[in-house]
Amino acid sequence: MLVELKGIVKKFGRNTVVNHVDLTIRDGEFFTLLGPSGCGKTTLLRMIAGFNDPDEGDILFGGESILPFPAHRRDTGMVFQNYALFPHLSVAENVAYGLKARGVKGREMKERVQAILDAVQLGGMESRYPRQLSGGQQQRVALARALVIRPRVLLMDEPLSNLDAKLRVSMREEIRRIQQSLGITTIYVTHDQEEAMAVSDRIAIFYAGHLQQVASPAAIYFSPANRFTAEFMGSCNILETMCTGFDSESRMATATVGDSTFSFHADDASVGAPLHIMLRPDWIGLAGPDSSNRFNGRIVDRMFLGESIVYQVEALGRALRVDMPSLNRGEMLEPGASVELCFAPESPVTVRA
Amino acid sequence: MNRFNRLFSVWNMVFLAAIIVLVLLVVYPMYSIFQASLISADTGEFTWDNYLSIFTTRFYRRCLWNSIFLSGLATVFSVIIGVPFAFFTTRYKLPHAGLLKTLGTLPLILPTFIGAEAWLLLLGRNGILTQLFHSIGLNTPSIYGWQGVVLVYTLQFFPFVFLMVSAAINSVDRSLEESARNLGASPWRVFRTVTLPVVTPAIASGALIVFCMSIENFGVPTIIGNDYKVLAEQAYSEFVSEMGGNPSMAGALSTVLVMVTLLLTVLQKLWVERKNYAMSSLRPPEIQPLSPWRTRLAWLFCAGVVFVSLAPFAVVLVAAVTKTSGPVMYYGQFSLDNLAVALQAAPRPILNSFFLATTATVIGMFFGMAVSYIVVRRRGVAGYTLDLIMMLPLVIAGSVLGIALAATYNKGPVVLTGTWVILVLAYFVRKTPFSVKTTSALLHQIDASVEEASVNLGVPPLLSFMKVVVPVMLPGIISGAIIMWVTTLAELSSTIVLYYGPWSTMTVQVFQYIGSGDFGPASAYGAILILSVIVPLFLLNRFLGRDPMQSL
Repeated sequence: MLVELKGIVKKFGRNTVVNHVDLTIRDGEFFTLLGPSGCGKTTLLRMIAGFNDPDEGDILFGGESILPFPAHRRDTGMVFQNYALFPHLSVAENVAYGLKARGVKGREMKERVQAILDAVQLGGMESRYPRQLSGGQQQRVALARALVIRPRVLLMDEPLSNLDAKLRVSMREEIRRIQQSLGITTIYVTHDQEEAMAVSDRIAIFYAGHLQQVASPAAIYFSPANRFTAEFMGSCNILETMCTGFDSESRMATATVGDSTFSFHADDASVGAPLHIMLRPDWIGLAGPDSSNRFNGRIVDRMFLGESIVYQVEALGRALRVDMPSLNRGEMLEPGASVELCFAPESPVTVRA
Repeated sequence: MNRFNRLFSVWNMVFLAAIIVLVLLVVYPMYSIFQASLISADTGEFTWDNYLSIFTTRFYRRCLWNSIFLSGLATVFSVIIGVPFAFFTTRYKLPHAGLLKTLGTLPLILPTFIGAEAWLLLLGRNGILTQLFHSIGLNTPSIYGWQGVVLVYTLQFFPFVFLMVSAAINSVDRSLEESARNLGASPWRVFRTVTLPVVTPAIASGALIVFCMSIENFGVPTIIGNDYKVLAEQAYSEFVSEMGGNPSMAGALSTVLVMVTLLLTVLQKLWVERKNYAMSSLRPPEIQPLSPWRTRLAWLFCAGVVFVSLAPFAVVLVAAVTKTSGPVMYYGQFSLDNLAVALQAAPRPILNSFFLATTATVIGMFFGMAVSYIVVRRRGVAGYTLDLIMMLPLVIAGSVLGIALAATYNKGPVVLTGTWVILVLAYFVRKTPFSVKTTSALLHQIDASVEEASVNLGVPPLLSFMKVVVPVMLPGIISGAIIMWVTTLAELSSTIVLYYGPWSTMTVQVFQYIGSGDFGPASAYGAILILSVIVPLFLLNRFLGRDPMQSL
């Protein structure tokens, strides 16, 4: 089901929580609304479900406006942050609830309930009550309940935020697997960028009611549209400097930071204008004999994280984060050590403030 | 506007209806008696004289002071008994602690004027204990006057303090005390610096309820206060006086009474709201063992309190089947005469009580359900206002509300004074707050998203409310209804103002028979009343596993 949002505005009192948002979500796409809490992403989801009305704009499913329809006739399946299971109904009754409302009865109802419970690996739990289930199991019931009605669109509001870290990872894989096998258009809300990258086909980044960037996870990670998306999607180092040269032919720019002059790829730049160079921590490494863009630094602190080591380095007159793979059984550079670092001319990204 | 918004207009209509009902039954009548109190009974002109005379006339000043003195003293004693009772039964390992707690809450539900009658049967002029002590040459202290009133109030109202404090103790996570110990505080220091401050707001809330219940009480001072007159009693006397009555004076006394309780409630609210330490407790404090002799002392204290507060009611049950002649009781001589009077000769008051209580409860149940939903789900100004007006009757003495209703609806387009309808309305207004409390407590536990999930799955909003919210609220609705029903049966103060001839109730019968010194028939009606109150509570406890009095 194609979902389109056109010029959506939502105000609560004098507070504009969603500000002229346009989005097109493709049929069968796993689409994530990502942003810090209070950025308007949940409000947007609730407007699609019909629990809030936009002040301006239109929402269309398959080219048809759904705004005239009340929440109970929009045919969306929503998974709530706290699961919102009916405490007085058993697992099977919770899942059958939406089917009964649609007049699905008898054998068909039983078969569909059974099939979806098997799909979320809850076979045998039919007669339990929500309070007798673990958090992960409740989450599966909520998912089954939303999916069994074969909704036009699946809506998920921070569905994993109440689970512990390990379970969160395995549940997100499962959600992705089920979504792929059913091919259902899914709109997913989260504030966790790693989760968003793991499950999504495309991500929309929200901040203060505004859409910042809509793109695939890799595109956002490697070419963030602005400083907010750069910092929100993973950690990064930003070097604020001035452009001293730009060759529009080779698309190479030069800039000076401290005593070091760097030359690197840039899509666009103009000489004399401020320039923000964004470097992910793993784009910086120890300089070898042939490295370009070299600079000196001093190790301040370090953290061993298993597969990598995070160093805090004092360089270019600021603190930088540098991630290096842990080799040689965790051998590390000592704090106080002087190092020569570098980055490849093609790796940095220039971002707008 | 889609249909989800129209749901809100359904609730808008319910909200509006609720406000209109409460304005007609509480706000407007209270306003009318306030207005009447500003008009001179002689000249019909505006005057502050009625208020001035409360403070300048020695008799009225005395009434005001008596009310405050009695209630204050009863509050102090209730705290002295209720706080240790709560700690002993909640924090420490005592034999039969559960039973002690259940019995400890029972006095709340038993009619206070029957408690007063019971103490007359024990320590009155012809009381059993009076005669017993007299026969061995000892004089018992007089039960008449303020001592008796304070005794009855304390024994019947201390459970309010006990229940509030007990709930507060259990709402604090044990990690709080553990961290105080960890930081090096001795057990006594922990109690003084952590436990006690945390339960203090609960003590204050309990104390306030005791004070309000005492100052609004009408039956007890009338029955054993003798010449010790209080405001609630005097407002009633002014209103129904055989000399034609003085509605302006009755209005002024009522207003002062309401102002005192209102002022204290507002002060308490302001204070408690700044000191609300309730935590979403995961692990309530551990129940600690006591040394054997401390266990014995604590147990004796609790059992003693329960015995002294409940035993007098047993005397009423005995008196109901005892041969009597006016105030003289022939204990040991079994007789069904008194019960025959109540059940055969004049059963109408019993039927009246049941009919009125049931009607008021059914109306109050549905009204309370709607109001709770609005208050919990639609916070903001509308919900807050409704909650405030709904709880207003809790600070209005029964006799005052009775006077206000009787004075408002005795003329004009709708005349209700002198009909049974006005009794039902008074009960409804006075008791529905209990239903709202029990129901909204449960409603707070269901997240709004549960309803939204139902709507999302295709069930229209109003049907979603019925299918998802009502089943979860049901235990609260039932226990609220039972509390409404039993407290309505025991309601004397508004009844005495509003009833007329054929619509006399059990409570009125008890009150009048005590007044004329006929303790036999008084005890018979009293015994039936006690049983009608205890049996439903027992059944509720048994079959729903709920202790409804926790929510009073």
